[in-house]
Amino acid sequence: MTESTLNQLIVSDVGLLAVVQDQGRFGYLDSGITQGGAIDGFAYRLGQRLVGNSLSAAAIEITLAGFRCCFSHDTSIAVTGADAPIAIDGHDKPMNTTLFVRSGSELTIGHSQHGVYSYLSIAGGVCSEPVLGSRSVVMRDGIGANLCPGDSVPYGDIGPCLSAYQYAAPPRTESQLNLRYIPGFQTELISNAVVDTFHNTRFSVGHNRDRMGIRLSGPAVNTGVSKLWSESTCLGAIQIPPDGQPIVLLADRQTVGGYPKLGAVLSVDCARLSQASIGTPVKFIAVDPTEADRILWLEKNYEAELTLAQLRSSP
Amino acid sequence: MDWTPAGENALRLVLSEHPSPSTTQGLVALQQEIRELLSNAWIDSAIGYTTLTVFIDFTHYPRERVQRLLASLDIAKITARYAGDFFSSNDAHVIALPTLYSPDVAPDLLSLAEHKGLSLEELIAIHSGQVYFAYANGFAPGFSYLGEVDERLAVPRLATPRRAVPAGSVAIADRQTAVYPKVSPGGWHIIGRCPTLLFDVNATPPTLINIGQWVRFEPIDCEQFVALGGEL
Repeated sequence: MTESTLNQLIVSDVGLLAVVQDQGRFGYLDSGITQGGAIDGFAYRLGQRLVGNSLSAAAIEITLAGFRCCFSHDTSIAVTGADAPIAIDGHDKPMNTTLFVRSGSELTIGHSQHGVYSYLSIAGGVCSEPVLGSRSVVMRDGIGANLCPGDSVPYGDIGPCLSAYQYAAPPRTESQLNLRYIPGFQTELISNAVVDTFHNTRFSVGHNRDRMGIRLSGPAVNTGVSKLWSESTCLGAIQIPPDGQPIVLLADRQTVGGYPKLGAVLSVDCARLSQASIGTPVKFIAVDPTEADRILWLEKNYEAELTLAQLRSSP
Repeated sequence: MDWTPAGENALRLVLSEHPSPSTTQGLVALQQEIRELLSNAWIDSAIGYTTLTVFIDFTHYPRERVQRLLASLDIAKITARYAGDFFSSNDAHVIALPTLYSPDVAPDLLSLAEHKGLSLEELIAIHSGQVYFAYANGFAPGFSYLGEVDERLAVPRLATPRRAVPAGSVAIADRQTAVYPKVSPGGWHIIGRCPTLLFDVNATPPTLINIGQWVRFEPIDCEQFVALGGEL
């Protein structure tokens, strides 16, 4: 296949940050390689469904605002996640919908009104070169690179989808986030009084946030735990550094850490947290592992049902 | 010994209170055993100084069954039986890291020597005169926590971490030493530079130093450093 026949989107504006992400990279923690992957798994998977991709296909994750690109070949796309105005060749288009784009069409994604991370999914998926089994970019680790204006990104040559779907969801804006978490790690070393206070405290989403984690602000949590041997972190781990302000670790977290941890937030709630605006009140609610399994099972089925609803209602 | 939850899809075991090469070797043995047992339900696993954390697909293998399986393991037996060449501190199996100890590449070399009341030669002799054990990998791909550094060189982290430590920097913090595989922020004291590539995504495994291996630093001069691909 010659260069000119390759399906590719040409990026002209990346806003704050745009990176290729899929489900993440697994099996390399002992090499110090983080998981990565789409921060808002729900929005990412919804996008893949809308364009008929497998749930492991790669998309472009756009942080906050201002993405623009052209497509070399007819295809179908969907924009999910943060609530942002989108347009194709200047015409407003809905989010969470399978959209047809022609060869040469220009897509613009404007500043998000609610939420932080948007996903551009393309029929056939983004076909950048996988590294260690994943296309997820982790810039900090030198795995892949963030997109720059002028970059061309290859995508699958399967053509447009035969039918279009829409997911008419209320925007996922939440005035208060209840983060369900499984207690663990150093919880047993921490006094009940401190844990009770932690549950009764209303924290808020701080300014210090990225794909590694989100720092919360509130009254300091004094764990009383000092010397710890570094150990594996996990998605959603609630780390308490010496200043007592919790950090919830996300997709690009460091693989090992030596701060005390109270437990880990469920993945579905990590996705909600990742989209929360600065200042959003946050409370932690402890759930046991069996309850967590039930929540995740329900969420998985809820997601599957969404797609079914589209199939039945589509013209 | 109890397996406790580490988030929604992982279980963690604290094997001993304090780290030691034998604890790490036990963790590696246990990790291999569990990976085989879990088969397709195994997602990932990570060894810490005293812990093993195993990530499991509980939709593939229900939590209760995994709990029962792990509880039934004879941990003492598994951790005792593994002792291959991989873990040997005999010279033939030690990974040699050529290192240029020079103030030209190591901003903290002279100040650390002075602070510790050592001559440059003494400092180099102490750091390069022993083997180190790889307790864990993390912080960045290919970054290995190596210990234990001689007490005469132990030094707390810098009060203010550097924003960019050059790739290959050999550094000390407390009684640990490490090589920064790529440019990154860092708060350890830099005493040398190693031209060896520590992380390569195209290699299997992608890291040169793996948990449980022994490492030695070998002093080299500028010429050798450049010949080995180092950049001054």
